[in-house]
Amino acid sequence: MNMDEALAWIADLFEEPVENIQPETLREDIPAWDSLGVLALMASLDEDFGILLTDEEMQELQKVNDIFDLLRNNGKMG
Amino acid sequence: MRFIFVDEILEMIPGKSIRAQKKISAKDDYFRDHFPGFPVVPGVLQIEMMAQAAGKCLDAEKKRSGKAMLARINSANFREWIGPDRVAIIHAEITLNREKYATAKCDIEVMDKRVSSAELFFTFVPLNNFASDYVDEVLESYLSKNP
Repeated sequence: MNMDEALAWIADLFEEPVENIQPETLREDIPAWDSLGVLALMASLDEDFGILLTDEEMQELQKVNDIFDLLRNNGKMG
Repeated sequence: MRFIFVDEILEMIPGKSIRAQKKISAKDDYFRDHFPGFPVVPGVLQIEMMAQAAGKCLDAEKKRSGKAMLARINSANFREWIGPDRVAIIHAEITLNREKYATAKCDIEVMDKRVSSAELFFTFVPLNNFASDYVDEVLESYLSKNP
C-alpha cells in the first residue's frame, strides 16, 4: 500500500473527503474517529491487514501518521 | 408493529454461520406506504433481517457479557425487489469474531435467487442495559431444540 492508497483507506474508514486527511491530521480533527471509529479502525486493521492491537495500543494512535507507522512497521505500507 | 425480522433459525453454527427465514406477508404494515400499488420490502428492513440473523449467531455463543448490535453497514447491495407473500432466506457468515467487535457477510435469497447482500459491523452492548426479563425468543427456541 502506498501513501495515496493509505490516505484513501483512512478517508473511507472515517467517512471524510480524502483531501481532509493528511499524515499530520490529529484524531481530534476527525469526527468519526470516536469510540465507534476506534473499533472500526481496530477491525479494519485486523481484517484487512492481520494486525491485532490491544485497547492500550489503539489509544496510542493519536494522528494519521501513527496508523501509517503501524502499517510500515508491519510491512503493510511502503 | 413488532421489530422481529427473523421468524425462525433453520441452521446455525454459533459464532460462525446461520441460515434463517422471514416470511413476508402481504399484511405487513410497511406495505401500506412502501408503496401503494408497488409493494416491496424496504432495503433498510432487509439490512435489519441480515443484522438480526448475524446478531443471533453471535449471541448464541454466549461467551460475552454483551449483546451484538449493528454499528456500521460497511456495504450493501439490493439487486431485486422483494414483494409480498415470499419467504426470505437469510444467510450470514461471521468473518471476524473478536471480544469487542465482529463482522459478517450476509445475503438474502428469495426463490433461490440472491436478492440482496451486506457486510455488517457489530459491537457489543453490555447485557445490563437491557430489561432483566428480555429474552430473544427466536434464538432460545432454536437453542432449546438444538442444544
